[in-house]
This record gives sequence, structure tokens and C-alpha cells, in this order.
Amino acid sequence: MQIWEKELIYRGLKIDDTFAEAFNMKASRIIVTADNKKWAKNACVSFTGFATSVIACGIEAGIEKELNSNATPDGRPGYSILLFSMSRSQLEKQLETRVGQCLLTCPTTAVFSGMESDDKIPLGKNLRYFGDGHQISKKIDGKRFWRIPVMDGEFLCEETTSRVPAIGGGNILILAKNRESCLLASETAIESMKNLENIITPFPGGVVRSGSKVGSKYKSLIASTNDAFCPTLYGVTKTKITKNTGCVLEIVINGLTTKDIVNATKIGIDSIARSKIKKDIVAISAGNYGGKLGQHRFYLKKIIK
Amino acid sequence: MKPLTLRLKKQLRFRLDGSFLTENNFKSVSEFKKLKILYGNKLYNVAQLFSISGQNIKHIIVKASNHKIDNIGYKMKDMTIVIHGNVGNSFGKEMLSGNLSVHGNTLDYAGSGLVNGTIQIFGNTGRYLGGKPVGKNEGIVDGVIYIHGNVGDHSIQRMRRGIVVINGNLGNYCCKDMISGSIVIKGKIGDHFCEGIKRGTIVTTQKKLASNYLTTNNANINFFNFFLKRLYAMIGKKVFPENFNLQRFYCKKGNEDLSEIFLIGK
Repeated sequence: MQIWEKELIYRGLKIDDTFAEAFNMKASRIIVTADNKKWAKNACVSFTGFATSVIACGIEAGIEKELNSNATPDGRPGYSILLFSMSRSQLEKQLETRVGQCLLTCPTTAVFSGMESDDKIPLGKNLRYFGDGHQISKKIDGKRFWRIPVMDGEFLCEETTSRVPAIGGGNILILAKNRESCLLASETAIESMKNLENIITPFPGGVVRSGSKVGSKYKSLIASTNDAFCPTLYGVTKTKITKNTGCVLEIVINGLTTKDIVNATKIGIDSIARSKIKKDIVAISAGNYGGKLGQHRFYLKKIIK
Repeated sequence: MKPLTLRLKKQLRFRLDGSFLTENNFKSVSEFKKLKILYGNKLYNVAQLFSISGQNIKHIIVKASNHKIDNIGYKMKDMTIVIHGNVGNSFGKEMLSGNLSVHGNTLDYAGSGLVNGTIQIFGNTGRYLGGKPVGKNEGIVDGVIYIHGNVGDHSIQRMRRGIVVINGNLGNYCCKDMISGSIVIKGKIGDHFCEGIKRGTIVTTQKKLASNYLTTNNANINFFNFFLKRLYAMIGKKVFPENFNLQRFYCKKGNEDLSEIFLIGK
């Protein structure tokens, strides 16, 4: 590793001397299992659909990692999902709605809590009434489970899951000469973060192209396009990119702790720096709002040290 | 720290109340040794009746125990007690949490009014296992009881929650007025089983038991494998062989209860 203070170069990759601005959030983890990976994945993809940003989706959710049979509570293959929200009520509401519409409905699935804390939120507590009086409760090892009769047998779900403080909005911006290289670099970074614990990248494929700034010329909008990083607006507005930048993509990282986000960011940058695609990368930057909105700042300079 | 180990110094002529192991909040071994307990019509220090070694007051081992010691594990909380030998009545009565085990047999009322925790009996147990304590209307409230041997008559009355696993046979008039909970029985079951049951799950190999129940269709029950996995993790042993045929029976005929039977076949 070699870092030159003036240019801030990491393994031949230029790193902007800036920071990612992140926010306090609330998170929960659930474990979804099914008879096979195919149906577990179907359920999880459905569950985490339309959960990219709290701005309009209510929660940010994503598949954390794949679990093999001996890592799940019922000995079947599954996935763990992390959910992030700004408020407890929104997290509760979204969790219940999504479990009801995406997991209860999906053949062979069962859902369990994936974390332990004193702060409990309902998982199957209210969904049990779908059983119309035929639901069966079982308390095993201090935890209550509900068995709801459905047309393929039974839907098994834990009564509650836990809620913990978390951080959302850690990010990196990949500035590349062209879109193809930018996409490849993003995919490389996402692939390297794929099986990391305690983090998710909630946007489609983990990548977002519509980074935003606070405010707009239109009074009704609270956010609008991040023109400083739009290659098509180079020279028109106050820009933060160079003339040879043809594409900018962002990877947003939500994590349970600061350490998890720092770790994921570092691994992401490192994977790009080690790949052949780095020759087409102009720089790695990060999105922030001047430090006025978020409670957390992730300085790229500190992360790559 | 080594477990606090007690060994009886002499053969007991009278019954001894063993609740002193859990009921008094002693904070040190010296305090424990000076504890006054009633034996016959006289008060003795614990050290006069037992030879004592070890320091860990939260982990107690009793050696050379016999059936004249009653109430061991009474209202026990966050402790581990291991008994070598037999024990008397009311073993683990109203236990709150922790692990209690006996490498021997027990008399009646073992695990009566169990609130939580795990009781393991490596031998046989008498009548009224998990029975109702005096003045209470429910038997086992929660927790796990695992009996490696046989169980006597009138056991598991008015069980509310929890799991009872019986490796051997079960006597007559058991599980009367059961409210809910789960019972796993590997051996034979006596007469008048589950009379007045309201809810609850029975796992058995005895086909005759299912004759009074409605047969459910051959659906996959996700719960059952999950239940066995958790149960085996809790008791540290597999009760049934790996591969078996499972059949579910639900709701007694002519009776509007919500109990179910999982019949394990070869």
C-alpha cells in the first residue's frame, strides 16, 4: 500500500479527500428459509423489492448473505435479510406488511428472528390471525413461534424479532472514463462485499446512479439530482468531476455499526484498486451534504489507511 | 472455580428438606457451611451433615444422595445442580431457571409447577411428574423435563407450556386436563391418557393413541423438523432415529379440543 499525501493515491487509484455522510437508523434482521434455495431466494427477492431508499419506500432492505442448512434454525437453506428504517413505527409496519405479503405467500417458507436485543418488534405476532383460530403457538427455549395453516402445509414464524441502532448512508462514488468501466468497477466492488456480515447495499444490484443533493430550484422538492457529479452538466453547474469523467455510480452501504461500514468501504475500494479496470477509473469519491445533516462522517483518507 | 461438592456424611434416618441448596441466598461457601437446617427435631449446620469441597456456589454437585432428601432445586434460579444417587419428592419444584439433573431415580412430584429451566432425570420418576403444586391450578408452566427412564401414574396434569420428553414408558391417567405444551414419548403409554385435553402436541410411536383423532392429510409440516432440531439441541441427545414416517392427527373425535398427535412410524 502506498499513499501520497498530496494526490491521495491508493494502489494507483486516485481517492478524493472527502467523506461520506451517514445517518442514525434502526435495523432488524430476519432469517428466511425454504425447502430449497430457489424458493428461499424467490421469497427474499420479493421481500426486498421496492426497498431501496427510506425516502419513498419506507425501509431500506437487502439480502445480507446466503445461509446453508446447518446455519438456519430449521435446518433448511435460507437467507438473512437486514432492514433499515428511520423510525420504529415504520420498521414495524414495513416488516409486518412485507412478511405478510411476500413471505407468508411464498411456498414452503418459514421466517425467524436473526438477532437478539431487548428491544422487540412484532414479526408473526399479528400475522397469526390469518390462521382464523387454527393457528398454533409453541414456546421453545424461551421464544414463541406461530404455526399458521396454509395451503401447502404450515407457515412457521417467530413471534418477534429484535431492533438495534444502526447506520445508513455510507457510500462511495466511482468516477470513471466511461459507463462500461464504471459498471464493471461497481460490480467488482459489490461482488467483494457480497458475503460481508452486518451490511447491505440496498439499491438495484447494489448500485445507484441517481445520487441526490439537498434542495431544488422547485420549492416542493427536498432533493434533486447531484449536478456536481453529472457528466452531462460538466461546465454548466459547479462541478466536482474532471473533464475526462464520463460516468459516476454510487454504492450506498447500510451497516449495523461504524466498523462494518468502514470495513465494507475499504474492501470495496480495495477490490477496484486490485482489478484491471482501475486504469479507466478517474477517482473514488464520496457523497455528503457538507456534514450538516448526518451524524456520521466516513473519511476516505482514514478508511484506506 | 471448582463446583461446590457435597457428600452425605451418614445414612439418613429421617427425611431432609433439600431446599436449603437453593432457597437461601448464601453468598459464600463459609456462609453456606454455617447454614442451619432441620434434620429430625434438631438444627444442624450444613457442614455437620455433608462434607463440603469446591467454591462455585452457582454450580453444586451432591454425591451419594438418597431418596430421603426432598425439595432439591426448589425455586432454583440461574444455578446448575447435579445429583448423583436417588432423590426424594418434589425434585425441582417450582424451579425458575437453570439446569437440574439427577443420575438416579426420583420419588413423586418431580418438576411440579416448573416455571422454566431444564430438568434431566437419568433414571425413573414416580407419580405426579410435573404436577400441580399445592394452591396452584397449573402444572408445568414452561421449561423442559427429560426423563431417560419411566414415569409413574397421574403425571403431567394441567400442563400450560413447556416440553416433556420421556424415553421410557408413561403410566396411567397422565396428561389429564392438559392446557397446552408438548410431550414426546418414546415408549408405551398407559390408559386414560390425555383426558380433558384442550390443546397441546403429543409426539408418540403408539398408534393406538391416534385412533380417537381425526387424520390430517399428508402435508409437509415445517414445524416438526424445526421442533426436533431445537429439542435435540436443548437436551443434548437424539430421541428418534434419523429417518421416520410422520403422520399428523388433529382434534379428538367428538371433542372440540385443538390438540394434535405426531405419530412416528418406521
